[in-house]
Amino acid sequence: MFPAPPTRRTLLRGALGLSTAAALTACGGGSTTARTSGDVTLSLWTHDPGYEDFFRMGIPEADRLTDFRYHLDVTRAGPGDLVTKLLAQAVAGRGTPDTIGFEIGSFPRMLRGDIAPRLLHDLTPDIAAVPGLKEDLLPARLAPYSKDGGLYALDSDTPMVVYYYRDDLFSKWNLPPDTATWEEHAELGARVHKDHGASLCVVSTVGSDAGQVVQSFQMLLYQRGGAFFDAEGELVLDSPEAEETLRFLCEGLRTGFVIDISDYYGAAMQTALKTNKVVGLPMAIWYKNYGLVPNVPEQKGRWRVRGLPRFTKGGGVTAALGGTGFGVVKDKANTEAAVDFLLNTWLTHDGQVRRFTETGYLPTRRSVYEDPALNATKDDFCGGQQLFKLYRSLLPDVPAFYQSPDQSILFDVLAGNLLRAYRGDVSPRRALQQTAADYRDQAGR
Amino acid sequence: MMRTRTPLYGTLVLLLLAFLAPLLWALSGSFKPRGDIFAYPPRLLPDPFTLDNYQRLFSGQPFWRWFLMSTVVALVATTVSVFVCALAGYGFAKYRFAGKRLLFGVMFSSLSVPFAVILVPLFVILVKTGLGSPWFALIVPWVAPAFGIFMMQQYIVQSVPDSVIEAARIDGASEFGIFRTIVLPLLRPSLGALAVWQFLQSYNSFLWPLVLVSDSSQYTLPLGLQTLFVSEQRQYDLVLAGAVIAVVPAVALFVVLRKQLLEGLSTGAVKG
Repeated sequence: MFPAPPTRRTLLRGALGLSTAAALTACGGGSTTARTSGDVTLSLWTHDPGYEDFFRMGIPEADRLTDFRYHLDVTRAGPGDLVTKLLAQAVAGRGTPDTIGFEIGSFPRMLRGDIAPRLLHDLTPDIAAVPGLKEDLLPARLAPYSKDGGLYALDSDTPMVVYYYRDDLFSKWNLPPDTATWEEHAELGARVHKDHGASLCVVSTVGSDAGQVVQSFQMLLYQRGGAFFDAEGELVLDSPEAEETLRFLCEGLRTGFVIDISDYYGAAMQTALKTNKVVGLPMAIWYKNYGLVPNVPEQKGRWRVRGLPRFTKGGGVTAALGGTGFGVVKDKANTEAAVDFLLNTWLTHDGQVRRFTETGYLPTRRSVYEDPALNATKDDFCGGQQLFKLYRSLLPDVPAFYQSPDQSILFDVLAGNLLRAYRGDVSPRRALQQTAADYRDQAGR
Repeated sequence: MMRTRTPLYGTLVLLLLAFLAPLLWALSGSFKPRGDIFAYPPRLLPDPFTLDNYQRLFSGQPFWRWFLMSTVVALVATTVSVFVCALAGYGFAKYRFAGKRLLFGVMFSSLSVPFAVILVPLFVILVKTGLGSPWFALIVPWVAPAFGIFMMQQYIVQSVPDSVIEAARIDGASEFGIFRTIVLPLLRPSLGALAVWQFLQSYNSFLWPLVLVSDSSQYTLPLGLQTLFVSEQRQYDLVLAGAVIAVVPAVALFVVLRKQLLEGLSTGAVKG
């Protein structure tokens, strides 16, 4: 039997990969004299002003710990736009930044072909050179930015998924805030919906944002022990865990335990929160600062955070969702200075403590979780709750997280099939089978 | 029997409201405190009314620079492109030269090529030729749009008789003089339509400025406003205020060129 001929899409992708690689090769190799000390202005690209603030405040510490005196020149754009801009500038051979923040969902574009190794500095030897650092970094947060043994970015967060709930309404409606399992929680949610018209879980159905639609399912799937890709980047979606998770969400939508919202961050969610239609939801830890605080500041003090209820059949009490990896563009005059800057702001103990206190992002070094100051921190928005202690207790359950260069294809096809399953047009089993088939057809693997 | 037009007018009013609703909502939201923008039930009139969004828009980021950059780039690009399109369209419509059909075919077929496809090659060419400075490079992609040339060529074929051009030549007018004094005035309605279209193309452009500009003080409006919307901190309050201001140049241009635009669009719609 002859192997199937390559599809048109495969040929096009191959040609695109080859041309990008060729273009990157052509633009590389320019002679640059590396700066090793003194004044240096680093160009930093980021999508989040919080990171800009963090790095600016880290300059004195970096100046003290290195031979450089740093200045920053910051460019801001959308997460996906930054990657587009980086690739275009690299091909043109000018204007690339020294340091760039890759939102985790945008990084897989760098994993295609050998774009990451050609364009980004491998941070592995720099980390190995600092005694004890490699062992201290959480492997789960290195995996998303690694390829073939190289590490091309350092994560901003250990973005655990937790359960947010309205403590005031839970008390008023006599609801237990500590249900042990999702199954019990779903029963409770059905009653809450019947009695009060509120929901305890949310799925996003914004049609124009496949990543957001997928997030709702992804969080619970990873918690349940499933995944999209394995360590080799192969699709492992079509699993019993995935079917169970999707069925759980679909049944939740029928009973009202789950509500479908068009946008986690926009108008629909804000209205649902303000009108008490959503009184609990699973979401990443950063959602407090980026979703709840800006949208419902008047609900300060009424929210609480807990670990996720478990699935009866297995899995942990948290998952991971999101993150931003900061990488350094290789073979530039400022490459060494940029690496030193990252290591001496992003990865120091003080820097990781500051990251949590200033941005709400959890440390990526295990040892920092023992910091007494962080463990004593109280959160006003969550009624004085000591959130860091909770996060520390969840840390052992954070699952590994692998990405594939073809992740965007999966998200596109999965989002459509999830929506069909939510609407009841197809069974969860069929939706996942169709997703796997569509993905293999389009990704060619 | 007299036929009433009430249903027609009713439908038109409803359509008008449907088209105006997003603009009214944006206008209203730009004067509301952030927490009230998505209040339920929604209120059209801001209560309380605040100018805080506009104040923060101007004080927190280089908004005026973005506005100026967009407007100047769009005006220059529009002026140059309208002239270039008219000139090229005139050439295709009224001159015979070797390879004309092939050239026109190539130009016409380029209409089907998305801008994203030529983005990187165009950028590389500009960089390698030393013409990659933002002020120049932001304008270049818009100066000779295939659609504009095609539109002018079609209009000139229909509206400019050969006999007028021949008469001018017999009277001793130069070729460029014929174009400037006879053809251009006849093209006024379609030039207005093309100008509005071209202005909006350049003014709303996002991808090209994104690739080209890294200094935030040289951002254009779409790029600048997007920075208020990145990450999960969606600053609807500032974006709505910015969007309201961003609409002003386009509306102003439409008002100025309204007559020419309507004439240009209706050309050929009525049997002569």
